[in-house]
Amino acid sequence: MPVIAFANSKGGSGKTTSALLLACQIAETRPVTIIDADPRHPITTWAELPNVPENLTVVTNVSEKTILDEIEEAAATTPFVIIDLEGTASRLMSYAISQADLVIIPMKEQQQDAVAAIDVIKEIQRDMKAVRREIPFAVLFTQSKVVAKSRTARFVADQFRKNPKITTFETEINERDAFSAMFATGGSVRTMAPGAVNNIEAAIQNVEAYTGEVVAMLRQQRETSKEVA
Amino acid sequence: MTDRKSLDFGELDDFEPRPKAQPTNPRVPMEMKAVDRVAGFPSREALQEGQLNIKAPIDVLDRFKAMAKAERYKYGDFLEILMNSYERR
Repeated sequence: MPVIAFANSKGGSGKTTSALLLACQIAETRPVTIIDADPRHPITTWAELPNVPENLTVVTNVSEKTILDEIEEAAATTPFVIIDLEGTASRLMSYAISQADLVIIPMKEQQQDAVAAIDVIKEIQRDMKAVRREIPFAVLFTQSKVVAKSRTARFVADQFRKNPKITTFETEINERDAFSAMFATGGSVRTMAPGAVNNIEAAIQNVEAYTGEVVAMLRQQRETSKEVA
Repeated sequence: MTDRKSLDFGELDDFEPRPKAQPTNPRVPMEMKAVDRVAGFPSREALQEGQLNIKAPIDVLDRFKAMAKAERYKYGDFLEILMNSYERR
């Protein structure tokens, strides 16, 4: 029953896209609930479009008071729960983090996203004290250029990649047509007509590599918690 | 003593076992309280509050106040906890 929260207190860091990509990919094989805890309800809006995967349930968060119940209920119903949060440093985010088995911190390779990501890491550390357990987290670079990364992008990313205390995803979510098209066409990268967007195969490979890393992290962590218990 | 007719209790099938009380789930408010104590991120939700004036026997009111105080809940929060546990009974 892994609960995976996507958190970055800055908007536009790629939370909703990376949460939805993961949810749709896992839904290929297992039931998933995605809790839309962004008050703009981007996932709920997406779910009104056609081709929502059969295995995917969208729950729209009501308020910070109800988030824990929503997570508990979802975790009792589907094996995977994904929470998409708002790009704001909010108590709602703290509550969701407190219930997560993995917090994914999406960020663009930019200074402002990086500062917000560090704020979230500090909040995760405070929440760990509240719930008295480890809350694993990992930084995911998003909207990254496939070719010709800027110096700033490399400089920002390196500071995370070279920090031994921070886990970063090897895979980056690239800036791809398919990933933004999803919100206009509905469905996932797999339901898009070939030719409707540029290089759909590369997009699918990108999502598979990223999902593979998430699953490996969840498995490794399950083993670690077994050893502790 | 031996010739007394024993009482007929019948099948007693009109009695049902008491449904097992749902394990009330104090985890949720407890964990929220724990997060509230350490969180650096504030609430962004507008608080919609009202007032309720309750007339009840003094001992009931005292009991309510004492229970809320023991757990350091505000009366409003404690009322919600009681209602939640009433719904789960």
